[in-house]
Amino acid sequence: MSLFDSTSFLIFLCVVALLYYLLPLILKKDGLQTLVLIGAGLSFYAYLDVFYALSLLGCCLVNEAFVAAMHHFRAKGNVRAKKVTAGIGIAVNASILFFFKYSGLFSSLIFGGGELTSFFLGLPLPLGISFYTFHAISMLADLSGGKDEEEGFWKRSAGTFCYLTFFANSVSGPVTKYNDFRPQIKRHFFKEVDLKKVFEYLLLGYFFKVCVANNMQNYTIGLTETDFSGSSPITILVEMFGYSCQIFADFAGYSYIAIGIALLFGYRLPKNFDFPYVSKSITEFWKRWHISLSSWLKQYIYFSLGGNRKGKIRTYVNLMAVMLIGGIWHGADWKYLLWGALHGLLLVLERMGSHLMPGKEKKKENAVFSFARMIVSFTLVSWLWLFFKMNGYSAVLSATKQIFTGWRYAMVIDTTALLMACFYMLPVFAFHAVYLVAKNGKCLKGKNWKYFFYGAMMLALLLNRGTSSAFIYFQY
Amino acid sequence: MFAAKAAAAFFVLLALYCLLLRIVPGSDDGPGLYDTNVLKAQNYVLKNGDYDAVLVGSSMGSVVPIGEHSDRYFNMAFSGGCSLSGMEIIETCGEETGHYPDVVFVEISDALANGVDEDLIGRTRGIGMAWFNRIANRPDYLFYSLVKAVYYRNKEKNATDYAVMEDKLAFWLNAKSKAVDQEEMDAYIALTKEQVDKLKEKGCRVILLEIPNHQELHDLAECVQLRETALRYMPEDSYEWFCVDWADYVVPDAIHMGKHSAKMYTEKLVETVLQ
Repeated sequence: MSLFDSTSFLIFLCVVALLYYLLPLILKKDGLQTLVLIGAGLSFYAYLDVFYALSLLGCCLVNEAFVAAMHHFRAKGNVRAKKVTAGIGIAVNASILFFFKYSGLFSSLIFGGGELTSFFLGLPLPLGISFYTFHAISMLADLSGGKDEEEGFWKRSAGTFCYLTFFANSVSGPVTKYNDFRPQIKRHFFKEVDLKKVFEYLLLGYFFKVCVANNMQNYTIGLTETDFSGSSPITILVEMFGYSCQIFADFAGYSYIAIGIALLFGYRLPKNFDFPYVSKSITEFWKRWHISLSSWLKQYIYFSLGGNRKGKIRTYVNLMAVMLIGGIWHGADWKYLLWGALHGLLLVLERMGSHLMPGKEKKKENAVFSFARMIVSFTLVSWLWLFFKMNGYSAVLSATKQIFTGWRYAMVIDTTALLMACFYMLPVFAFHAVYLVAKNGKCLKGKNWKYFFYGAMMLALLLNRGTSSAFIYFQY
Repeated sequence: MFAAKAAAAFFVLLALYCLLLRIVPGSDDGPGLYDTNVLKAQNYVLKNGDYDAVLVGSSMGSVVPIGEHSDRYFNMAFSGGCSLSGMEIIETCGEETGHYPDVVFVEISDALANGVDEDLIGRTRGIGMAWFNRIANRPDYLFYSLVKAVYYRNKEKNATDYAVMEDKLAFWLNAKSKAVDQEEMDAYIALTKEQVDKLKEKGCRVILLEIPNHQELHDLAECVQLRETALRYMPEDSYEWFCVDWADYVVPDAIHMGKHSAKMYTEKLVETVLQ
């Protein structure tokens, strides 16, 4: 059950779904569904590693203690104490995340090598900690807003545990805000489940993960080299765009699976991807890529820092700060910080451009210019993904230099590998193209065309599965 | 209604796809090295192992185009693998079908670390051999075969042997200059001998091959150690060996023969052993 795409996970899912809908019917108790989900969440983590389950359980207990204290202060009418408790809770969560994820990085920066750094670097990273910590912070922040209702101990605790342990999204998102999730914790009936939607999300998710991402990984392996002086620019470019498609297929695939699983249990998770590679700017890209994280960062960090209400300079600083946090959130490595910084810089430049040319965005562009902007944005985003894939920024520099200067030399090109990489890019591009075509109302208006895609995806899942591998975002 | 439409679309596409599989000429290799290995193994099992001669080994043996001489000859050498996997497939397939090749060429190389590929062997048995699990039925293989049929139609890849790549030669000269752990070598050769003996018991004529590497590697410590160990376990008076002068062959990357040399080697092998 190590991955969402394993057979054992599918069996687990069926068993949990059966218990989820049958137990309340047999035992005539409504709260059982929540308990089934909590049990399933903890079992899922325990199956992978008991340490993961204990970490998650610890997070639940710590946060439930803060939630209980906040309820206590609310009952007493002490709003200030409630907000202070929420603040302390958020700080504790952030500290735990920092301890497990970043202590090694900062220890090596401050103390250099040595026993302390080795100790921190050797700390195991609990699976999904970045995601469930963000959930915990969201819960405390939302509850401090005072919208919580009067609830008994068991119901409240079950709500906290269910929100933090929900196995569909606690490992890798979509990051769901507490205020959006909490009202959904109630009795769900199987007849209310939109099975068509469940099927669509699961099919699309598994297709992207199993047939595209898992196969594409064989053709982007070259990006893990450190020196590209002997590589052909064509190869680097194809692998770069290939990785861009791979990371989309992997993460969007995971997100669709998570949304489909949640729907099976009657829960609606937020959309995480909205055809990001049709973006005509980096600003638009961040409205379409990992939407749940962008939205979380916007609500809990960008707005907290003042957003765009405190002048242009402060807006730029806030944008940069959010992107730096978003970057380092991905991992304890300077390359992620640099990746975030570069995205932040591009966002700031675009914002400056919009300030210099107000109203330009509202004008209708011609199709060629729009397409050119799309290509430029996709190329920039794809180049920035190199920081994710490659071993440090010196490798990114080496590859970039070769892209610009390598054309003078005749290089050996593995044509087959390049063609196969293009073959696996096709579904990702087709997915975005269909969206563009449908959006512009050109064709594909009827409802039946989608069955052709379902059939093709089922056929691919039957025949063209790639070697199973962990989701890229499981490490974050 | 929704499920019925989706299922109908699936079956229509499946039927069309099966038709396409019959039209597009299949390729001997797959889009990736491992795909090629699985394809070879599955093709061998699909034909019930009904061949006159089969060559097993690693990537060194995989360049030997024995199948070009006759469709009764089959090259089942696996890139990144070793002869053990091939011999195990011959044995298990033979047990099930009763067919064993008359001659089995076994490459004796230093592919020690490769070991038996259980995953590969698993993909020639049971569910691994189900129609939907065969490499030859994958859409990416179909695409690859189509591209190969069109793109390489008039091009013979590596028609002539490339010049020796000095950096590769330097790497292998260094890598093979030291003997490896003798116990490890003994264990590997003993396992090879065990498999060879099993095939001999089944009536196969087993020919042990020392596939030519670059001639400068011939007397290096690891090559000598391998040769001596193999001869100690499988001496020439009880086992058939086919050895050639390495100097006669061009080996561009120091360990894999060039296309022209591989053809020469195959001709010699066929003339000496099979005719």
